[in-house]
Amino acid sequence: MDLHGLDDIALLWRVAHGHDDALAELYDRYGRLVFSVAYHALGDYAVAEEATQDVFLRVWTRADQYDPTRAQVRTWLVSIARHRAIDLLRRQGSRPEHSSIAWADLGPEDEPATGDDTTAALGDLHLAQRRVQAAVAELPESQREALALAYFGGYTQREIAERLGEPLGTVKTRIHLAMQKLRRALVDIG
Amino acid sequence: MADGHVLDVLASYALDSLDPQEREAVVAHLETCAACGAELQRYEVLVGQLGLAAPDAAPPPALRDRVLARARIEPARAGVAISEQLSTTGAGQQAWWGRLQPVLTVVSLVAVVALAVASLLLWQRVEQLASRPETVALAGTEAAPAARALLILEDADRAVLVVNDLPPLDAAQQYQLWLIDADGTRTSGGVFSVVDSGSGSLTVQAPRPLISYTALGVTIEPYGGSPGPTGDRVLGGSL
Repeated sequence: MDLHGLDDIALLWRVAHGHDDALAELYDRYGRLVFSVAYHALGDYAVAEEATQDVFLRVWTRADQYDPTRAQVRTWLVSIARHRAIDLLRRQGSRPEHSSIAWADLGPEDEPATGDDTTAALGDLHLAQRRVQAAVAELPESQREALALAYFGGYTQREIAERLGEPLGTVKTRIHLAMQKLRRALVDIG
Repeated sequence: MADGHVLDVLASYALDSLDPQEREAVVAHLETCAACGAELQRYEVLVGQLGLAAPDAAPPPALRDRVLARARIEPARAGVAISEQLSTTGAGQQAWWGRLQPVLTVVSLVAVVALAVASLLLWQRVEQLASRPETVALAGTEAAPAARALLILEDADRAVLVVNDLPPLDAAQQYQLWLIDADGTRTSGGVFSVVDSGSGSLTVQAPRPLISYTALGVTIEPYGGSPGPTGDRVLGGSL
């Protein structure tokens, strides 16, 4: 059964109709991405595996809840993955000792995303990833740091303020500015 | 937030980094404010996008089998048979395609906006669409009774056709979509093939706005298509 040619929406439609070959194809496309998000938040291989299973089980039973007018399938998957990971993080109480909670750096072999890249296949996951990396890299360090703690660490603003030794208002502003900036930079990648 | 709106904290709300009190205030406000609700949706998309650049971590190969095994012991959607999905009028169904009524009359069009992932700038264009495009369901004929399809309009003259359960054809044949005028003229909407499982999709670029046609059909044709329909009709629907 070769589903490689189907776009993500058609694939998800097939998942929602109970075809597990489509779920397998979806895992092949995005399983690693889901796992990466979960692992970076949770810092633990076994729990990240559990989280990944939870995510795909949720997709299997709730594919009909996906709304194609809101975001791409991969975006929806990442949202579910992050939400599940943060949920597990908060339940387990203690937080993993990360060497660093941060987005992936653009490697030396990656060119910065340019205007030409945006007209190329933005549907390509790798290009979208580089766009996000580039946009995040443009943020001031202080904004990026606060945002990473919220995004991957699942910390509240108050907890971030305590952790960084900064006033709550400062942290709120940094996160808000960072998100505004990123939203503008990434509006066209879906 | 002198005007009562919660715009300043919506980003944090989307990140789930608000304290309980502030969160409750936002939830209460969102119940009555569509503008903040729309703003929140945009932040929620961003939250999904940001994870794309999480540092790469390779899952163990065995995880794939575990994911699939877990799914196989779970019903995909409790209590709803696949064949019912597209054949009922969909009243009360929450599925995004289930909200369609596969009614074969022209009278009312269902206002469901659906987009194909393949088109890159659609997310931006959705904001610009003045009227709400429709999605049209096609039903299988006696030649392919199990077949179902959706034509998802992205723009006045562009759409994506998504099909399920069409029998694969031999190498000398392909399926062809026809846009049918009120006077019976057939215009080709393109050719496509399906994979072994019967699924396929086709991006349709029509010479005129799609709603100017009255019906759609899919027939079996020689590979590469024909100037006009020659083979069995497998799918049909009204616009």
